[in-house]
Amino acid sequence: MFSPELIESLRQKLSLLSPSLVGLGFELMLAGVGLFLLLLDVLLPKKPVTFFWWVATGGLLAAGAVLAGAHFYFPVEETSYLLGKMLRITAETLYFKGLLGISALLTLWMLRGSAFFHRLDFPAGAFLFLFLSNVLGLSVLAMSAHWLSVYFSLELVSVSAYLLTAFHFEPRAGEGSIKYLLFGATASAVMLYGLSFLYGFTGTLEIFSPTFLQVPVSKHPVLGLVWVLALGGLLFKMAAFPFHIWAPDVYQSAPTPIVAFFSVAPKVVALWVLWQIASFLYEIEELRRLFSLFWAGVALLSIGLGNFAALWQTHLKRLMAYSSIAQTGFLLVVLVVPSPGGFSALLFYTTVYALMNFGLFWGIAKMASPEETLDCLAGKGREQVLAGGVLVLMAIALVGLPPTAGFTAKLLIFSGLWEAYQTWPHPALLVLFIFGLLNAAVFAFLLSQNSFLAFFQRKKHQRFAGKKYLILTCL
Amino acid sequence: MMISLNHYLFLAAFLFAAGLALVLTRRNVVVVLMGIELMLNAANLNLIAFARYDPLHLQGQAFALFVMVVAAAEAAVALGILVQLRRTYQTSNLDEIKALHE
Amino acid sequence: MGTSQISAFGWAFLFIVGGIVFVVLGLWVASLLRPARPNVEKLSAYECGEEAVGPAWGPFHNRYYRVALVFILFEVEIVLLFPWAVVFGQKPLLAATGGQWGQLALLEMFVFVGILALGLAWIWAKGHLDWVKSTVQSPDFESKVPRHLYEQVNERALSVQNKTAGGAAVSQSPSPTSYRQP
Repeated sequence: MFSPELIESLRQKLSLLSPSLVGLGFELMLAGVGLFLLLLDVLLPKKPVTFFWWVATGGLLAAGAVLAGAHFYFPVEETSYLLGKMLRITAETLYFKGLLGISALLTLWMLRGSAFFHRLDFPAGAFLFLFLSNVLGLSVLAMSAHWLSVYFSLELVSVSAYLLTAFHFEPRAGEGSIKYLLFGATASAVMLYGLSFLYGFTGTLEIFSPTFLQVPVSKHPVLGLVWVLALGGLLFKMAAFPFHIWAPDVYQSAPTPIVAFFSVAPKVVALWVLWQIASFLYEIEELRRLFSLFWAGVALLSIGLGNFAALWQTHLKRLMAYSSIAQTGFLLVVLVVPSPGGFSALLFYTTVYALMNFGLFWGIAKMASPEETLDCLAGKGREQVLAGGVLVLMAIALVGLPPTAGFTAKLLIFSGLWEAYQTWPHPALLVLFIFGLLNAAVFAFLLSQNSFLAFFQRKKHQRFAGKKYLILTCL
Repeated sequence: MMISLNHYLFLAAFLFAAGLALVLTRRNVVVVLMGIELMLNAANLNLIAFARYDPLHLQGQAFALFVMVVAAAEAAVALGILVQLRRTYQTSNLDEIKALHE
Repeated sequence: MGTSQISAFGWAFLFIVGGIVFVVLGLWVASLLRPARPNVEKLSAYECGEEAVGPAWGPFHNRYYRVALVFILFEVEIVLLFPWAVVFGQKPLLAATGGQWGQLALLEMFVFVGILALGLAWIWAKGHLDWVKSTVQSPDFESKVPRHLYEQVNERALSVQNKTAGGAAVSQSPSPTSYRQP
C-alpha cells in the first residue's frame, strides 16, 4: 500500500524534527509570546497597557537571545534545511532575522512613546499579538525554501498588517486598511496563479530545486511571465512599481510606529528572499538576461514614480510612502547583478536603510502634529532641537549625501551596477544608472526642502514658492 | 475524448480572468472580494490539476487546502473591516470611500 | 470506465442530465399527485413558522455579521481537520515509525485546535459574541429638587385623579401623570 521509499522518507523527516525545532527557536518563542499575550488579555483584561508592553518586549528579547544562540548552533558556511525542505537556514538568514528583531524592538520602543497606545480603551493585548504575528511571519519568510512557506508566511504578514493598519481609531483608518487588503489579496491571488504554473512546469514546489533550472526557457517563453507573476506577492510587500498603489493610503492611515516597521522590515526580508531566488536563477544564461532587464525595469519605474509623485504631496506620511517606493527601487538595483560584491552592498544598504528610516519616523512622530501635513513641521525644529536634528540627519542620509553612511550605501550599489555594465553593456543598465543618479538628486531636493521647512521656515506661504522652485529644478 | 490537463487549465484561466475583471471593474467591496475568491479558486484548480503529474505526490493538493483556509481567514478580516467602515461611511462602495488623499 | 464507450465528457454530461431529470421528474410527479388549492398564507415564503415582516434584501443588523465571521473561521478549520483524520491514521505508517508519526500528528492537531480555542475564548471574553440588546438607559441626571417634593406632587396628582375616577382602581394602574424620581 505504501512504498518503502515513502516510509523511509517519513522516518528521515521524523528524525530531523528535533534539530528543526532548535532552528525554529526564535519563531516558536514569538508564537508562544503572542498567544500568551492573548491568554493574558482574556484572563487579566484590567491590566494597564504597559503590562502587555513589558510582556511583549520581554518575550521579544528572550526570542532574540534564542536567535543569538542559534548563531552558534548552525555553522556559518553550511546551509541547513528544516522541516523537510520547507525552510533553510544560512548565516545570512540569521543576520536578516537579527535585523528584523532589532526593527521590532525599535517599533515597540516607539509605540511606548506614542499617544494612541496609551488610550484607556486601547486593546493592547490584541494589538501586540498581531504585531508579533507580523514579526513571526516575516521571520519565517526570511527562511522560506518552499512556495508553500512563502505563501503562508506572506499571508500571515499581510493579514496581521491589514489589521494593524486599522488600529488608529480614527474614522479614516479603516479606509487604508480595506484598500491594503483588496490590493494585497489580489496580489497574492496573482502570485498563486503564477506559482501554480511553476509547479506545473517542474512538478515541485521547492524553490531551490534543480528541476527549476532544467526547464528550457527557449522552449517555454511563458516561463518568464510565470516567474514574474509568482514574485508579485513579494513585490507587493516591498511596494515595488506595479504593486505600489497601496502604500500612500496605508502610510497615511496607519499609526506612525507601525508605518516605520512596514517601511523597513517587510522590504528588507522580501528583498532577501528575492535575492536568494535571483542568485539561484542566474545560473542559467537566458534567465539571467531576462531577469536583469526585469529588475532594471522595476527598479527604474519604482525610483521614478516614487520620486516624482512625492513632489506633489502635502501630507507628511504620504510623502514618506512615495519616498519609500523610490527607496525600494534603489534596493532592487542590487538584484540586477547578484554577485558577492552586490551581496555586501545589500547587507550594508538594508542595515543602514533600517536605521535611517526608524530615525526619520521617530523624528516625525516627535514633531508632527496630529494632522501630519508638511506644513506642521514648519519651525518645529527650533523648538525640538534633538528630534529635528535627527530628522534632518536621517533625511540627508536617506538621500545619500557624502558625510553619512547612506552615501556609502548608494555608492556601493551604483558602483556594482557600473561594473555590471562593463561586463554586459546593455543600454537598459546604463539608463538605470543615469536615471538612478539623477533621481537621487531630485530626492535630495525633496528631503532638504523637508528639513529646511523644519528649521528655517516660519510662514506657510513660503513653502509654495519653494515648491515651484523645486519642480523647476527637476524639469 | 478525455478531459485532459488543458481543459482544467482553460477553465482556470477563464475563472482567473473573470475574477480579475470583477476586481478591476466593480466598486462594491463585497463583489471585489468575490472576484478575488474566484482568482484564488483558479489557482487552486491549476494546483490540483498539476498535482496529478507530481512525482512527489500531492504537494499541489495540500497547497490548495491551505489556500482555502487562508482565503477564508482573509475574507473574515475583510468583512470585519468592512463592518467597521460602514459605520463611518454608510457605504461599501469603493468610490465613495475616499476620505484619505484630502 | 475503461471498457465503456463513453468518454470522460460523456460521464460529466450524464451527471448533469441525471441531476436535471431527477429534480424535474420529482416536481412533475408531485404536481400530479398533490391537491392545488393556493391561498395567500400558503404562497408566502416559509420562515420557520415566523411571519415574514419584509423583503429579504433589507439591511441586517451588525450583530449577524459578527456571528457569521466567527462561524466562517470555525467552519473552515474542518478543511484541515478532515484530511488530517483520514490521512494520518494509517496503520502501516504508524507501525513503520514506531508510533512517532501518530504522536506527532496528534500533537500538531492539539496545538492547532488549542490556538483556535484560545481565539474563541478571546472573542467570548471581549464580548463579541454577546447578542446586542437594546438596553434601558436610566438617566444619570441629579436633580437639585429634594425627593419628597416629587412625592408631594405625585400625591397631589393622585388625589385629583381619585376624586375624578372615584377610588380603588387607581392603586392598580400607575398614574400617567406621576413624576419619575431621578
